[in-house]
Amino acid sequence: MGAGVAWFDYDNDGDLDLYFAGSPPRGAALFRRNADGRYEEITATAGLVSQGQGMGVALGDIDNDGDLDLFLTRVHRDRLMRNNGDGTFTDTSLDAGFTAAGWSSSAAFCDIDTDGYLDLFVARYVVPDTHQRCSTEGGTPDYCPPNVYPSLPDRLYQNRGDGTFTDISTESGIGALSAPALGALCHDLNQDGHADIFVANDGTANHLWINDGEGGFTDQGVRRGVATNLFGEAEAGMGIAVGDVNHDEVLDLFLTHIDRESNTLYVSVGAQARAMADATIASGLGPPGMPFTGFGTAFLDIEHDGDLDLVIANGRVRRPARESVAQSPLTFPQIYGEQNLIMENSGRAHFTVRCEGDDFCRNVGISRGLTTADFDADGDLDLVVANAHGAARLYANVTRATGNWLRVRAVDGHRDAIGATISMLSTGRTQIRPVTHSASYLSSREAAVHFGLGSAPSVEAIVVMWPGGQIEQFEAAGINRQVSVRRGLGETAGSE
Amino acid sequence: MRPPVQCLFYIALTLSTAAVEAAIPRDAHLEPQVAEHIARALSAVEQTPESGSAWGELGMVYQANGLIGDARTSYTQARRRAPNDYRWHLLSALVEAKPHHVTQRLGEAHARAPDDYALVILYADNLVRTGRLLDSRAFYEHARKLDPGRGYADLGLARLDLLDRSLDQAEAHLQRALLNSPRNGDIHTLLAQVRQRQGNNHAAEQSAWRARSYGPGPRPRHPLLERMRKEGVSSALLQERGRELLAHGDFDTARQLLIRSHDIRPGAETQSDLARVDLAQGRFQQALTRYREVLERKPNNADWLTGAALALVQLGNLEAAEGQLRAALGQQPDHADANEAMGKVCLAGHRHREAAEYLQKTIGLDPTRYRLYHQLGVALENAGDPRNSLAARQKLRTLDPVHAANLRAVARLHLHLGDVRAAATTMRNLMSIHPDDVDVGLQLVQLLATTAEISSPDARDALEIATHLYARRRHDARFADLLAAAFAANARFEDAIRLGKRALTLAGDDPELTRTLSAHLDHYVHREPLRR
Repeated sequence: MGAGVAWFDYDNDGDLDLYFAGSPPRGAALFRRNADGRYEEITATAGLVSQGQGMGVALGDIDNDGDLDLFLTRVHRDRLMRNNGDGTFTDTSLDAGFTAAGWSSSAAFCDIDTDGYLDLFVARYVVPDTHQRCSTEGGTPDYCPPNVYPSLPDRLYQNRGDGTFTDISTESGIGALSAPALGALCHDLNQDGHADIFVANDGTANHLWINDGEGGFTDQGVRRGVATNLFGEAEAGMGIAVGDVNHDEVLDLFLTHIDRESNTLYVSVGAQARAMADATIASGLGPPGMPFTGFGTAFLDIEHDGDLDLVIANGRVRRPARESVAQSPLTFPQIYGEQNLIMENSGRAHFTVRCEGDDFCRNVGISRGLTTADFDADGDLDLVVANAHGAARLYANVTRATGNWLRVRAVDGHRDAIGATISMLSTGRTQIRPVTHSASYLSSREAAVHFGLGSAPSVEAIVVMWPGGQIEQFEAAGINRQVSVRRGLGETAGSE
Repeated sequence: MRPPVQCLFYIALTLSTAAVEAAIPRDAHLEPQVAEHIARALSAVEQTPESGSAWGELGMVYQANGLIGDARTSYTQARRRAPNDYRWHLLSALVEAKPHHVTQRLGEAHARAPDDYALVILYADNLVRTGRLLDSRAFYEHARKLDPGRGYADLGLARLDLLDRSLDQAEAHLQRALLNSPRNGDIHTLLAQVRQRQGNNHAAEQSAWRARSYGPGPRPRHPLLERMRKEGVSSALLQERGRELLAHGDFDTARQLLIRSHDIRPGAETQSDLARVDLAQGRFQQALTRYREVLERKPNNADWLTGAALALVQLGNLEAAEGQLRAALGQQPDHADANEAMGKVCLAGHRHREAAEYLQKTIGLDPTRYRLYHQLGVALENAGDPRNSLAARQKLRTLDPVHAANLRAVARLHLHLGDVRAAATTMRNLMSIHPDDVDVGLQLVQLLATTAEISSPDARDALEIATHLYARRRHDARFADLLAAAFAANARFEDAIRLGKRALTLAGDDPELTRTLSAHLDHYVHREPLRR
């Protein structure tokens, strides 16, 4: 299954550190980015050494003290690691109320009740059974698909504001359905001011939990068109990318899937994202992904031309069909390793493979977690990939930029305004980005958002829809820089 | 264990000459029976190397056993030797790696068998997936002409309409598809999306609920692909096919395949599958023995604990069954089978409130088990909760409008709750579905004749139905009495008295019935209709 990765500034020193959720024998690891640009492992110093099988990592400032805490999903028991603000973490799992056993996958912090504290959604997978045996058609032993195991209901935890959480899975409705969940996104997808939850399920229909604003969630995945693909087939959902690919100012979703299924793009249709439609065919995203098993994924404007491109980290989970009785036995990386994909957006939500000469595509690995950030502060987004049975890889974006850029951080109180949606108005075009840490597969990203400006020479305004639905406009303050917009101030604060 | 060397073959298929060479495989990693099956198919090719069918059959054996490259090569040879045989083009399509090659092969197959419904659908679906939407529409239209009685072509057209954002047309296609397969969850899924986009949230939610309850609909499967799959002889494939057949109720064949799989590769999984077959075929003691055997290896397996419990229920040992189910639920509280079985055990033990909780949970965990609303209705009614019982039964009525026992219960519950009109409507509905069910008619007429206003439309309906029923049961006192009551409800008291007297005659020596009929006759003599 692999594990996730997070890029975040754990010590608030202004640069981005890296956390790998890890799995045996390597285990989890935190790397601090030093002033010379090199990464140094500080797992033990930070108090993040862990035993057992790690899965995902969710970032969130649970106590609004301005530093990012970690929620680590695991095969047996999850852990909440509270950031002490001095470069170390403390395991507060049991005191905080995280006692549930079972296999969790992705997790996402968001403020579901708009009380100012980040709540937590935890996607959960199956009950593992090591005695279960599965084979390929020819009888070769292989990993089992999830449908041979019982699945687990996901969990929703409400932040009490005192460092502890209450399990509200049952009363919220989230606990009513069980499915093998892998990807999770918590954001206001229907633009009503309340955080909704989208869950990518492995081989069963996806869930779209719409928040009624009164503590209840109902699964509207079927009617809103994101439970299955156009053919009504429940696919093997893994990673999730979110972004507005067609410039209609509504967020779209992209899901990665197993080989022989296409990855799927759902675009919003109708006012206030009333529904979504499977636009995979028209987008050109179907056939290129079909030979691969996609996991981590992200939308990003690679070359700053003003539209969102797509990256996909691939790696098999089932043996490929054998070519021939004469075929020699393959090694593990040969069986499960795959190349990654970069899909370039033409600007009209049509994508083509753009892999030529790119290391990201050329390196074959069993890739799982992926996340993006401008780790080298050069204005473009870079990539990091966590590989199963192999070293992680850091990819610096060396694409020649065709336009300017802007990086925006939305701040609410002492922390990032998780759940906000930022609109950037530039000549003739509005781009939107969600402020969220939850992304991709088992992974987390920084909350600041990145815009490529294309041919626009300037930014006219930045509009933020804050959690709760309030809208605030900020004057733009230059380009090719990071700006912060603070709730209630209605002005931008620039930084070099 | 490696098979004997003399039974192993490795044949290099040389495309250019199509010569067939036998050799010893290096390390084929194949189960022995798979290697032997391939060897037999190879032998047929050796004997008739110019036969397209022999090459095609060899390709099927390779494909079914997961040797895709060898299958591709064999089908290429088959196509060269029998270019007009659509089968090898179709099967070639399924082993092609590149999407445009798949489309090309399917197109070739279709050109050779243009009126093959399943092939046309397969081709049309493929064209949609590769973005050739206009072409695909023509093929769906063609499929609909070939077999108007199947809904899949309409479903395909609805998908295209949805892509075009032609919501009204999509809905029209879906409604037509529903006429042919009203419980196809795929159709309801699309209908939910259409209604959501139309802004009709309530209807969208209703359709989504139906979609979840019915589950995915059947897809047209080409018989040739089924035939190819049968060439798969590895233990895993035999087990997989055995499980599929078990799910489809073909227990004898499922058992054969599972036994073959178990003989090749004995294991607890196939043993438990065989226990499920035993359970399904009524060999409860054998099923229990098998479950006990596998539970010795893994005592906490919730599936097997539940299976053993189901066998114990059938053997009449409810107490032991409950123990097993509690153990299963201790392991997996959300185990749908265990919750369902527990609900039924509680129902049998008259613990109705508890039964209702388990059954409700089961439906929540697996909405496709919507038929459990019937048992849930029973449990709630017996637990003294007629309103929720009626709500459960109304849900079942929505999903299964012809469930007779449920409709009877709905009518009964309406009456119990004092809603005579709703009860009568339900009974009328039941009669329209089961026109020959005289008991239903009897109940409906009794209801209408004793509640309707004199000479009202309901009273006239009662008389019409009573006349119809009496014509079928002229020598039954109850039906004569019924017709008398219907006459009285229409103020035709002379006729009522005449039929009332005939009913008395037919009652013979039954003193209780005679007493009742006499009382009814007194009403008519006094020109009064019967009243509930």
